[in-house]
Amino acid sequence: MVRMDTRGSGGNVSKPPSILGRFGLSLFFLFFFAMGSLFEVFILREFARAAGQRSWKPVPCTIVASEVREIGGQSPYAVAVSYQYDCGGRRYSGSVYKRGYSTSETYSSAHKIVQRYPVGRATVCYVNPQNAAEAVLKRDSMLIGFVALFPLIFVAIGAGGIYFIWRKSPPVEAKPSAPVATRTKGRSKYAMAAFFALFAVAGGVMLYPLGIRPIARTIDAESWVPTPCKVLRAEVRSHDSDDGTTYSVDILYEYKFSGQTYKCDRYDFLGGSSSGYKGKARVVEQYRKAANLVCYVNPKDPSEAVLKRGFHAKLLLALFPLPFLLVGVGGMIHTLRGKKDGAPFPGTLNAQASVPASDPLSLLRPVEAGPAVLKPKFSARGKLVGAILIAVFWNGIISIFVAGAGRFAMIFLLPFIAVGVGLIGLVIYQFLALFNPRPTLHLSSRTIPLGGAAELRWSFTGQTSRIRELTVTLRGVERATYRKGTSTCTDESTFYEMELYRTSSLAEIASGQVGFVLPQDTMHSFKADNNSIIWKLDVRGDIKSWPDVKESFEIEVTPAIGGRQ
Amino acid sequence: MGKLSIELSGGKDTFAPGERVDGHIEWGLDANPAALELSLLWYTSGKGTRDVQVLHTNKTDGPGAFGSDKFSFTLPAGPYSFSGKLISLIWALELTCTPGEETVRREVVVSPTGREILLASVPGQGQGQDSEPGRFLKRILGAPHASA
Repeated sequence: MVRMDTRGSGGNVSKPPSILGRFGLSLFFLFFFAMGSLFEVFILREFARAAGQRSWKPVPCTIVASEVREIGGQSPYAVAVSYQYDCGGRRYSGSVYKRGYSTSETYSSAHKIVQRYPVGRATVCYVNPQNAAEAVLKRDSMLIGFVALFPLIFVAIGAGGIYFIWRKSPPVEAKPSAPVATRTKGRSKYAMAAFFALFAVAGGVMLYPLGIRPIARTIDAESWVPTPCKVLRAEVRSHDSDDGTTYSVDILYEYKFSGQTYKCDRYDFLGGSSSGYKGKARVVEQYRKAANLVCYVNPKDPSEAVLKRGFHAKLLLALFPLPFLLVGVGGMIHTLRGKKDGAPFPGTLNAQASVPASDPLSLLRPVEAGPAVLKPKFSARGKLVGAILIAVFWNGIISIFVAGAGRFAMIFLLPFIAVGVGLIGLVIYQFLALFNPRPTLHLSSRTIPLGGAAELRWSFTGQTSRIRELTVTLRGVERATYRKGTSTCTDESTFYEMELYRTSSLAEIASGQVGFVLPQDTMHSFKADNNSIIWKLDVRGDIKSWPDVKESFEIEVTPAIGGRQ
Repeated sequence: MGKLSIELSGGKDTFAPGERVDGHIEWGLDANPAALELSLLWYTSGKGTRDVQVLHTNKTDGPGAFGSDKFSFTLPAGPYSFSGKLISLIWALELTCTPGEETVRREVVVSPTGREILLASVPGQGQGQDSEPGRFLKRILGAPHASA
């Protein structure tokens, strides 16, 4: 018996896209790859510089001048620091705080540096061994190495996409007796886990500065001391970039604490700038006019203060990295804890049984053949949570690009935004479906043999009167799962369909029963890792101008009792 | 190049679930193999990634370059041999020799009907249909749609 299979072998064969389609997709993935690579190069260059500075020589030095200077512009505060140090028997003067540092956007951050290096303090500076006249007070941080992982996600998506678009499909199985190589599911499992690990690391690295820190400070600020303060300057500051202008609240205020005068310009703990001028202008105006202004001062470090403390809606932005972390960790756990690798394909050496059949006739016995209450595969809440997670994840990623996109990039992003809008629509749909009547199905037997009979009873909870028509259908479905590029796809084909009941009567919709007989010359339920035969009862309730009731309940159909038919 | 063969008693290649499969294997190889393995297994073929399960294996150590041996396996109740639009499930006996690449496979049908179960596709299912939210959107926007 020789079988020539045209449906594809091992699931890798599907209708390939046209050449034009391939070029279009390649262009799309090339954009990901190029942007990711570009950022990666920049970050690695910075990392190499930071690593090089580790060899600079620590030398004792003394601070001779240190103050915050206001110089105007978009980043209006500069730290004017100078220090003296001896190296190789000669005295040198330095004025660089940190390589690449010139100005600070906020008074607080500039003042922090001045506080760390007050005049007269004996400290350590780092001197370039190649040039003793070059020194810094603070070396570049090596933490930028972690950021290098983030663009790798885009590089991996781009390179993976292009690879899978252009790779040649494996040949269709033509010789059933030819030995087939061991399946590579194990390797792909670890590749997928590595892919999710990138998300997890990126999310984890972003979570502290963007999420945990502002929230922790907000909680901490609850114990800060309310102190009268005076506004020295209040304005909306604009930040120009190639992609447009963003705005931030800029309020410099002065206060006295323990007899000493301090200045600060922290409005809230999130900081940063965003589009939208009017809202910021309103805040600025409010503080300009305020008669008895109060700021909250950190008693442990009185140079630290804030105008707006407590939780507010903007703090939710701090949770932005969380979906990355959750998807990454969840994906890794799911991938690594997933189903065990199947056995090697027969024909390879040392083939072992994947699941040795200890009792080959076990399937014949009607185990637990008593009545059963059927449960839908996914609950309404589960569907809603799933839709929310997908929508948050997708729109979270897209919003990064949209926030910094110019006009040209925005045109490119339109299809992605459309998908995001569609996903929000799905969330709304699933939310509405949450209020639908819920069916409960009782089956007379937990397992039904082919050719066997069963009785089905149903009842609804909730507003059953909203259902205009109810249909109960028995279906047999083939389900095949296969890899397509980097994604896993599942196709279904219905091989059996029988409408068991259709009614518009309110009483019959609310509860009813029907008997049915399964066909004999068909296939029983079958479940393997990637392929299955599913028997299910589909319940559909038509509701006017509202998502329909649509639930699917799997049933177990066993081989026919007895031998040859 | 050696020769491996699997012969089924009475040339039979269709069996009912739970039936015994009897036959004998023959081999004539260029060199002495370390072992011969005869396996009863099923595997899937088609669109889905391949699944496979080996149910019984008879291993013969040091069988010599030439020889023959009888075998007998009892088939389980399922799964049946079937072929649908997406998946086929194929039962087979497979003889492999270690070391070496020599393999021979003999497909059999396991079915209570005496032939492979054929699963036809119900027309209009799965292809070109709107998703549930899509259908809902069309309905509230007043666009015509096919009834379920």
